[in-house]
Amino acid sequence: MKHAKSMKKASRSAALAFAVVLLASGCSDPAADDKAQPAAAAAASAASAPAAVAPVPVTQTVEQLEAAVPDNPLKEAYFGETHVHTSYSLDAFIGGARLTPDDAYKFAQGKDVTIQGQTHNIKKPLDWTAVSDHAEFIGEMYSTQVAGAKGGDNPMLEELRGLKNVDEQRAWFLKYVINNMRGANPGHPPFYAGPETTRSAWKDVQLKAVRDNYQPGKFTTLAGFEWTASNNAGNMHRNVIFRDLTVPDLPLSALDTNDEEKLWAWMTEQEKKGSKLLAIPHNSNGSKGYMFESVDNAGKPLTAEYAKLRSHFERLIEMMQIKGNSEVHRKFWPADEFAEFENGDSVATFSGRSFKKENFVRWAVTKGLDYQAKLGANPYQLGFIGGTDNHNGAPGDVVEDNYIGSHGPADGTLKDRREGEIDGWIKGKDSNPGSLSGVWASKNTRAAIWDAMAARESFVTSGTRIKVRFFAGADLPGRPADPRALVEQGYQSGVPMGGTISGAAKSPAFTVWASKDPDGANLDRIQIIKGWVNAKGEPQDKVIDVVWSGERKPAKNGKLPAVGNTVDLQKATYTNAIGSPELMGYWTDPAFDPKQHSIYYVRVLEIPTPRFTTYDAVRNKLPLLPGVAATVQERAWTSPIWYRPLF
Amino acid sequence: MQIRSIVKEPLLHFLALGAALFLFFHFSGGGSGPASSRIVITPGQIEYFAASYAKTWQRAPSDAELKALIDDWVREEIAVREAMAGGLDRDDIVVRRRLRQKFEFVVEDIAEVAPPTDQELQTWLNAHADAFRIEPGAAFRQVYFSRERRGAEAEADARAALARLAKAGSDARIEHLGDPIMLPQEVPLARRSDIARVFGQDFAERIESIAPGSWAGPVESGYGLHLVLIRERVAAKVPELAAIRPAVERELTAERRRRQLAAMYERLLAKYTVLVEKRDDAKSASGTSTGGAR
Repeated sequence: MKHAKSMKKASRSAALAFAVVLLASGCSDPAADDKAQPAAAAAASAASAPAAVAPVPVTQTVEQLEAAVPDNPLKEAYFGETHVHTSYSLDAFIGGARLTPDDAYKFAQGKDVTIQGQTHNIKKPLDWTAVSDHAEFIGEMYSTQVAGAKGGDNPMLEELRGLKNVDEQRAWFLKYVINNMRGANPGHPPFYAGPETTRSAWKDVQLKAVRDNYQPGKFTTLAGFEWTASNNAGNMHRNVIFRDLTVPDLPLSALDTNDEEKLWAWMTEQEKKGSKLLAIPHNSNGSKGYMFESVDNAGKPLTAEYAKLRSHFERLIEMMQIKGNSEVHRKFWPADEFAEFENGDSVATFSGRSFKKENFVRWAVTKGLDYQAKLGANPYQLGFIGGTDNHNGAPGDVVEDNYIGSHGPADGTLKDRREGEIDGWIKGKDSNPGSLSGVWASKNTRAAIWDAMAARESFVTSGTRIKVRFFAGADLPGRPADPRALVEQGYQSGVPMGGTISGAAKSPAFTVWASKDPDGANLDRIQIIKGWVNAKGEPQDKVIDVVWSGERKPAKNGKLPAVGNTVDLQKATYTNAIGSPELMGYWTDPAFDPKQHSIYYVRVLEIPTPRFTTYDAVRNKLPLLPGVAATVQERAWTSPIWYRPLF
Repeated sequence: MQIRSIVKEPLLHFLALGAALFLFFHFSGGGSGPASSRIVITPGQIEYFAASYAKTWQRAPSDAELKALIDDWVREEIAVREAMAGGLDRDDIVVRRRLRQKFEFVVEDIAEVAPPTDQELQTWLNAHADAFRIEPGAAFRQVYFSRERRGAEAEADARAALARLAKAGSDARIEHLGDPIMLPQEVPLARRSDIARVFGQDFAERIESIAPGSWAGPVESGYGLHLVLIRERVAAKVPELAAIRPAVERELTAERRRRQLAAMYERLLAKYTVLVEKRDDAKSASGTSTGGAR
C-alpha cells in the first residue's frame, strides 16, 4: 500500500514538471501593442453640454485619440480620485484587498467588483482616477500575487497567504512591516526578492493598468504612487502623480528616503529626465506638527529656496479623507459654526497624534502668506484636492448611503463600523467615506486633467458632485447676469480658483457659482473664507456668507439662520423642500487692505442629509450612535485665490 | 504547432505522461525522483548554486562555500523525501495550498497556448454583446422651470409654456423661456451616462421614453422641471470587433482559463469517489456520490 501510494505521487509530480518544461520552451503570448487603443469613446464636450457620442471606432494611437477630443475653453468639472490603495499596497492586501490596480480602474468606470465577499458598484462612475499604492512594498506584493514571480515561494509569504484570521494578519503585519517602517532606518522586510520585483510591479501591473484603462474623452487614468514616510508615526505621506507615461523606472519609496526634501530632490531629477510630476500631501491632521514646520529637516528656518522648491512640486493638498477633514477643527475654530464636520477626533487618540491648530489646512495656507511677505516665496501655496485613502481598491467610493467601509475587515462589517477601529488610526464611527476631487479642465485627457491640478484649478467635495466656480479680479465688470456670463467674464477679466491677483487699489470683485449634485441634496449657502496674518505673523481668518437659499435674513450679529433639516432619522431620508439647486453670488471685501497679503477660498454647504452611520443604523434597526452626528452638511471647497501686494 | 495542439488537452497528457514516467521509474528501479534512494547533483545544478550565490554576494563561492551549498541542498532533498514518505505534507495547510496553486497555474498556463482566432472572438462578442454595448444616446433641447422660484406655480407655468411650444414647433426660440440655470438648453448627441452627469440619473432615464420630434414634459430632475424636445436618438449598439479586439480577447482568455480549470476538476473528480460522512448532529441527509460532490 505504502509503496503504491508513493509511486503515484512520483508520477504526478513528474507530470507537473514536464508541463512546466513545455511551457518554458517557447509558448508566449503575443505582446500587446502599447500605443494602439480602441477608440472606445472620443467625446465632444461643448460649453458644459454633455459629451457627444463617439465617432466610428477605429484603432488609433493614444495621441490621436487625445487630439480628437475637442477643447472646451470654458472648461468642465471632472470628478476623480487621487488616493486609493489596491492589493499592491501591503497593508491593503493584509486587510483582504484583492482588487488589483486594473480592477480599481474598472470600479471607477462603473463595473461591479467583489469586496470582502460583497458585490459592490460605485453607481456614479468617475471621470478620472490615479491609483496610488504604497511604493514601499509593491515588489513584495508582486511576489505574493503573481504566479511564478521571484520570491513568491518565500516561507513568510507562504505564511501570509495562509492567514485567514484578521488578528493573525495584523500580527504578521505588525511584526514584519509596521515596526520596520516606524524605525529610524526603515528597510524592506526579509521576504523582499529584489528590485526587479518592484520594477515588475510598477511596469507590468501599475503602468499596464494605467495604459489599458485610458479612454481619452471618457475616462482618464494617471500614473502615481504614494511615498509613505511616517517618522515617529507622524504622517508625512505624499501621493506623487505623473502627467503622462514618461515615468521613472522605479517609484521612490520611504525606504529609499524618508526625508521629504530628498523626495523633492528626486522629483527634480525626474523633471530633468522629462517627467512632469507633482506631490500631494495628506492627512496633515495626523502629522504631529511635522507637516507645516517652521524649520527644515536640518532644523534651520525655512528659506526662499526651500519655499520655491516645495511649492513647485506641492501644488495641492488633500483636504479631507477617510481619516478626517483637515480643513479646520471645531476646537481651534470655535467661531466657524461649520467647523464641526468629520473632525475624526479619535485620530488624536492613536500613536500620540494629538491635534494642533498648526496641522490644519486653513492654518497652513494662511501662514504661507507670512512666508510670502518675509521670504518672497510661499512654501504653502496649496490648492485643494480630494481623495479617499480607500484600502479596498475602490476609488471614489464616497457615497454615504452606499458605504460598505474602506479598510477591509477593519470596518467591513456593521459592527466594526459602529464599534471597531481602523488599525492604529481612527475609530470606525469617526471615519467617513472620504472626499472627491473636482478639476476644471478643458477636456478629459491626462494632460488637461493634470494641468488643471498643477494650476490648482481644483476643488474638493466631501463626496457629492457639487460643482463650484470661483473667480476674482479687480477688472470684473460687476454682478454677472447669469452663470454663463460669470464664467466668461471670469476667464476674460479675472483669475479662476488657484490663481493669484497681484496688486489692486481697491477690493477685487469675487464671483461664485455652485450647482447641486444632480442626484443629491440642494444647497444651503456659499461662503468665502478670507485669511491673512497679523503683525506677529499669526494666521487670522473670517468666514463670510455670500449667497444662500430662501428668504433668510442675517441676524444683528451677522449670523444667518440655519437652513433647516428635513432628515427623517427613523427612515434615513431627506427631501429637497429646502435649499437651492443652484446659487450665484458676487462679493467685494469691505476690509480689503491693498498692502496686506491675503487668501480667499470658497466653501459651499448642502442642506443636511443622513450620515453613513445613520443609514447603517436604520437599515439594521439599531439605535443611532450616541455622540456621533446623525446628519451632515456635505460640502465643497475651492482652491484659494491669492492676493499679493505689488510692493 | 504540432506540440501546441497536443498540449491543448492538458488532462490527457498529465495522465499519459504520469503513466509513462511511473513505468519508467518502476522498471529502472532508479532515477532520482522522490521515491528513489539516489540523490544526483548535476553540473547544471551546481552552476545554479554558484550563480545564485554570486548574485547575492557579488562574487563566486569558494570551494568550501560551494560544498556547503551542495550539502545543504542534499539535506533539503533528504528532508523533503523523508517528510513526504512520512506523510508530513498531507496535513500541512501551507503545503497543500501551494500545491493546489501550482497545479492550477500549470493548467491555466497551458490553456493559454493558442491565441483565440477572429472567428472565436466574434462568436464570443456575439454571445456577450451586453458587456460591450455602447450606451444609447440622445440629442435634445430643454427649458427649465425652478420650483424654488415659482413654488407651487412651477408645474402650471411649465404646462402653459408646453402648450405654446407645441404650437411653435421643434425649432421654437427658447432662450428667454423658463428660468436661468447653468444647464445647456441645447444638448448635442450625448451618451446616456454623460446626460446623467449633467442632469442626473433619473432625468437621463426619464427622457428615454419620450418620442422624438415634439415637446414633452414637464420632466422632473434634481434641479426642478424641464420641458424636453428629443431631436435625435441613437440606440445602444455593439461596436465592431476590430475596435475592441484587445478587450474581447482579454475577457475570452480569462473565461477559457476558468472553464479549463472547471472542466479539469470535473473530469478528475470522476476518478474519485467522494464520501461526505454524516455529522452526528446533522439532521439533513448526506451520502455517497461519485464525481458528484460540488
